[in-house]
Amino acid sequence: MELFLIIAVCSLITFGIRLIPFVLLRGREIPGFISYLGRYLPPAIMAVLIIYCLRSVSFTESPYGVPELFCAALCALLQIRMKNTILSIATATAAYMLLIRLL
Amino acid sequence: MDVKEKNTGRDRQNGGRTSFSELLRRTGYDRRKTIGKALSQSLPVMFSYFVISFAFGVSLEAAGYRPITAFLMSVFIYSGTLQLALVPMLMAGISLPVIAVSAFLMTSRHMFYGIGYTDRFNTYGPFKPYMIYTYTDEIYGIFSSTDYEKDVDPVWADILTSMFCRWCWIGGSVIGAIAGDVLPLDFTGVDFAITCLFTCSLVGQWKDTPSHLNILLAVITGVICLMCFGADNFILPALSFTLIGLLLLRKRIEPGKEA
Repeated sequence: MELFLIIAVCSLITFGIRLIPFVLLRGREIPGFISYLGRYLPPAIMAVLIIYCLRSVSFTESPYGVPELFCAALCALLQIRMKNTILSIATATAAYMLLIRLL
Repeated sequence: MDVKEKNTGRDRQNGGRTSFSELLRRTGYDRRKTIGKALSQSLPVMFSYFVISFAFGVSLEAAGYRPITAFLMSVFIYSGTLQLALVPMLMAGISLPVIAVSAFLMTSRHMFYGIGYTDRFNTYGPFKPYMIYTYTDEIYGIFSSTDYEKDVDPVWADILTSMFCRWCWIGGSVIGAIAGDVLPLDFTGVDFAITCLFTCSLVGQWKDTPSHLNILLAVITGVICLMCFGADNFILPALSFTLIGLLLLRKRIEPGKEA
């Protein structure tokens, strides 16, 4: 029961958040700082989220975060060069799964 | 506010009051091409959604939950970061208010994605609420780079794109929750696909802004917060300080534009 309550609350929050701009900006001019945030906040959030993904990596003991950093760099490089999301994600994830088993 | 306007086939004269039958009776477009376009532009996202939600399903099953829970969470919550973060939270028995605040802060970035797209969403008619519910980082990524050919119906291509991605997300999590039990495979590391997904998003967004001070600020804030607050608690202060920092540094980041 508790579980269903948690799912319901989380669902309301995720839908509510996505709804906010459409309700607030209904037929109105967008304030300057919102369009500024709309442009500059998403990449900043992505950067924080990447750190969030790597938060439990230990850089002081073997393998010193090498698989994570190498594969993230590989993914970025592939994406810059080939611009093919499916290829970048698949290759880097496969390389990571291989590296953590070898190192 | 200059809204990117590449699609010519969107009729907006109704002010968003398109009915379902009107949507079905749209003419002048090639159905097969529309479906094909929606499929081809969704494919990378469909794949990564399937892999990530599969990993979610496996970890949820490993935490002792049933496939129906994975199904319900994917159908109603539909947020990768939140769903994956929920697994350890559920296991640790974190209280509902704490989960709610975390959920809010984790998905609060979505409130910025609707900005500049209100006109486009009005063309979806009765699908508008569904399309808002289905609006994710990746859909945002697809929509901000769409360039449809003349005989592709932009409205249906958008709707189908959102649907395909969402079905893959739901399907992946359920299959993961079922197969995680049956398949004797070691899936350790498959969740690295999420890191890759965010990396790809960041690479894609890099060229959207002339200044990259925002990303530098986020990285510094993130690392400092990680060191100060620890791995389990840093995301909320990191996002908050990044937001505050962005507002304070507006003149530096966006010179010549002051409100």
